[in-house]
Amino acid sequence: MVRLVKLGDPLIYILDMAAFIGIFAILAISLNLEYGFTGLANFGKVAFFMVGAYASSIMANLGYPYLLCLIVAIIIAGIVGLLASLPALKLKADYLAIVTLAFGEILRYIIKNEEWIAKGVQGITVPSAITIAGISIRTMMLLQLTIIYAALAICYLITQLLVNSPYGRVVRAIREDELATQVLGKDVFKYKAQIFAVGSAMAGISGSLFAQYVRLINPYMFEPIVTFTIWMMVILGGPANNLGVILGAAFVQALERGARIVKDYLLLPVDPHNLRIILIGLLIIIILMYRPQGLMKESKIKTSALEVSSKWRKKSSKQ
Amino acid sequence: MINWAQVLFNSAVTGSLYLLAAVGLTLTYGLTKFPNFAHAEFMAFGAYAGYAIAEQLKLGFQYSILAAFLASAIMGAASYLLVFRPLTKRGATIIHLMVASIGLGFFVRHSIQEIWGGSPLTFRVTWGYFDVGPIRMTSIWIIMICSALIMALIMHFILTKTMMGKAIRASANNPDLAMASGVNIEKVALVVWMIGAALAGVGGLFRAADTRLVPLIGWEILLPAFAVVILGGIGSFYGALVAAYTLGLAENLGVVLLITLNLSTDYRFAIAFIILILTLIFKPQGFGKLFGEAG
Amino acid sequence: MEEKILKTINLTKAFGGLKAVNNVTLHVKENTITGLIGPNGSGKTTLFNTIFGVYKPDQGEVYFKNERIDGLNPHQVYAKGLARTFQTPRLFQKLTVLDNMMIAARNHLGDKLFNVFIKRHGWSEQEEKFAEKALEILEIIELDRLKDVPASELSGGQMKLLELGRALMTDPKMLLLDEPAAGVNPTLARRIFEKITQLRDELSLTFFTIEHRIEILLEHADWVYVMHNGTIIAEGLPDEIVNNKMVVDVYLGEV
Repeated sequence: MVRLVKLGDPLIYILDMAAFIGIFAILAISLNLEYGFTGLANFGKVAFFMVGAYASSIMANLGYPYLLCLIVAIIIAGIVGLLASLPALKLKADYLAIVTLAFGEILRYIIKNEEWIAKGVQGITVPSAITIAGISIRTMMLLQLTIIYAALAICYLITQLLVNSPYGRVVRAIREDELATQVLGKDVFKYKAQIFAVGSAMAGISGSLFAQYVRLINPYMFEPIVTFTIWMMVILGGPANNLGVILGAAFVQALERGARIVKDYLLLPVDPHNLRIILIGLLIIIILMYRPQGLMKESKIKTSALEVSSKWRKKSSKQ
Repeated sequence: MINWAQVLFNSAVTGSLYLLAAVGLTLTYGLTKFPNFAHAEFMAFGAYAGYAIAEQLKLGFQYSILAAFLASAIMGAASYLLVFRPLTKRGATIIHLMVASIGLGFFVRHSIQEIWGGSPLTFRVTWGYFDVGPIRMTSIWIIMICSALIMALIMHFILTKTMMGKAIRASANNPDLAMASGVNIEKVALVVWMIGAALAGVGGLFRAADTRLVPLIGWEILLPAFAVVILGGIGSFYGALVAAYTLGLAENLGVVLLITLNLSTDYRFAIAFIILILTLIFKPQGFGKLFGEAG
Repeated sequence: MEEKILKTINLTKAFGGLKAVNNVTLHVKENTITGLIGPNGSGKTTLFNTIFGVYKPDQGEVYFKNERIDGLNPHQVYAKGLARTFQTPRLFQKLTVLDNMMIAARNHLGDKLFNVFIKRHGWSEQEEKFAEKALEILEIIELDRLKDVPASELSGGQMKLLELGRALMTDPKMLLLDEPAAGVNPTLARRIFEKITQLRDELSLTFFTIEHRIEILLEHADWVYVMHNGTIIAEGLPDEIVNNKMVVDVYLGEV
């Protein structure tokens, strides 16, 4: 990936890390919605991240204001997600994983080879969302962080509203037992398609923010390893717990940025990048083996039903 | 003027590579019921082990093949015994197993990268071109085709004539019945994981010798291998046999089509993916039904 | 009320070459407890699955309140007023007992995606009403003190009860129960069937229930069908069935 910051200002390093954490936390929440809450094995997450990044960048290069670029990214990523999901969501978990993986790769191949879309392997430059002239790097970073974390807060809120509702209860039920959920009157396929569309749209937000932050995107930035990095964030942090996956994102990204810093400043016999990924791979296996619920356990469904429940007294004891 | 003989020959080469890669994948998928994404690293590890023998220890290429076979077999055994069997015993879901295989893949691939670096490596051995009639070939391609066919014959023999082979077929078909009949499923699984990984390792070595060696070499063949597995029917050796060469043919015919249509030949890999997606959506059992039970 | 609330006509479902349900024609009268018995593998559960749209029939028709329902998806069958339980309870393991009940609620505004954001007040009120109803049902089946317990932590008998409670929560006109008292101790089994009888009387519900134990059906069923190898081999009042030599042979043959 492109390194935005110049050497020398340690605060910038930290702000840079915070920016990536914010961007990837949104991706982690979107995957959490699909896998953690609804049980969908989406191995193609990077595809929608990429669609959002490219859609937003092409719009920006055409001169449109950033907000519009962001909206276009959301809509296109969401629609692509919905279309991709229609044939795929009828499949079992393993088939769904393989199909979404293959789909992501096909999209990447198209962007790589069809140069008229976005210059293929060369990549395209992207204007920043912040167009105020003559500000210092620090100010620029702080403004970027404001945008990124505002978006993260909105995504977090939307997801929390969704999962702490009867709707959220239904998708968790789908995760637990699809047939029982159908028999209890829910159109399971519709729910899965909706969740996939929302998750993809959210990935589009992340892609748009990412593109305008790193200022240059090319197809090599959107390989399957990105999808699996997000999976690690969700598994580590705790599926079905949004705070947990944000923590997972922070941990994994901090490791990545930390490895970069170590590589720049220390001369080690080992490559910290490899070490980092070896560690993560190992951690994934250990967590799945010994603590599959992740760092933070699944969050409860918080609706007004809980209040009624806590105030409940048996009819027989009410006089 | 299209050289159809060449296209057919190339299809045989591609098909042979895919067969070596896919046999292990389809058998373990059928037995342990999940797609093992670390299979890519079985291929890569074999290739690097072969490279170490051929280039670093400067022994002959034939020893590379042996090294690839053994090294990957060990990796297959270790993966099954240390990761997938314990996870299954702890009640891991299919998604857990898939993600664990991704994690395992990360672990192995970046260990490889740490030891050998990420830059492309090439084998000293040059495979000179020679012409047989209208067909241009190299000796590595001949080796690939011969290895695949010999392997297929041996597998057929094992599956039909040996106790272990029959146990494999029984376990893939109906594990409970097999267990009730006295088959030691765990031993069968171990054998399948080892042989499958070993063959993949050899396949990876051949591909590396034919092109070049990079850590992601396994992933280059993984999705086409999945296409073969799904098309052939999960768990079916004979299905994989037919599907591998079918896919090889489709891919090479596709290249002809791409060139005619003036599109990038990079899309040849997309052919496998598209076949994979279409099969999963419209005929998920693949050829499996034609061959009845697995193997 | 002698209305035939559920009718199947020549219903057939085959897997491979085997006809699990073979030309089954039967009807269930409204406000009855109708039993379905037969040896293992006779096709009873497959029949339920076909009626409920889990399987599409190869042949034949299903009518619920004179409306054709064969070919519908399970969630559409539910919408017509049918509910079903499974022989092995299919509970939502990680969700609490209360949440398991709440999902079954009919016509919940909060189930729809846009309503989650827009009509918050509307469905919030519904949540409270449904919660009250769920807790009442839980009290009837004596699971109310376990309301916040994850379903995975329930005992086998409690799971069967929750499965039943969830079906009741759907406000159905008719319930298809697949061995509602299987695997629970005889006292609890009797209590379950006493509750079922109570519900038939108090709420005018109709029950079509698969059950192995003929003694229980003797006490509670209004009518019994006997199934064997995918076809109905006998039907009648419980004591007729129990004295039917062919039925006895079929059962003894299977033992």
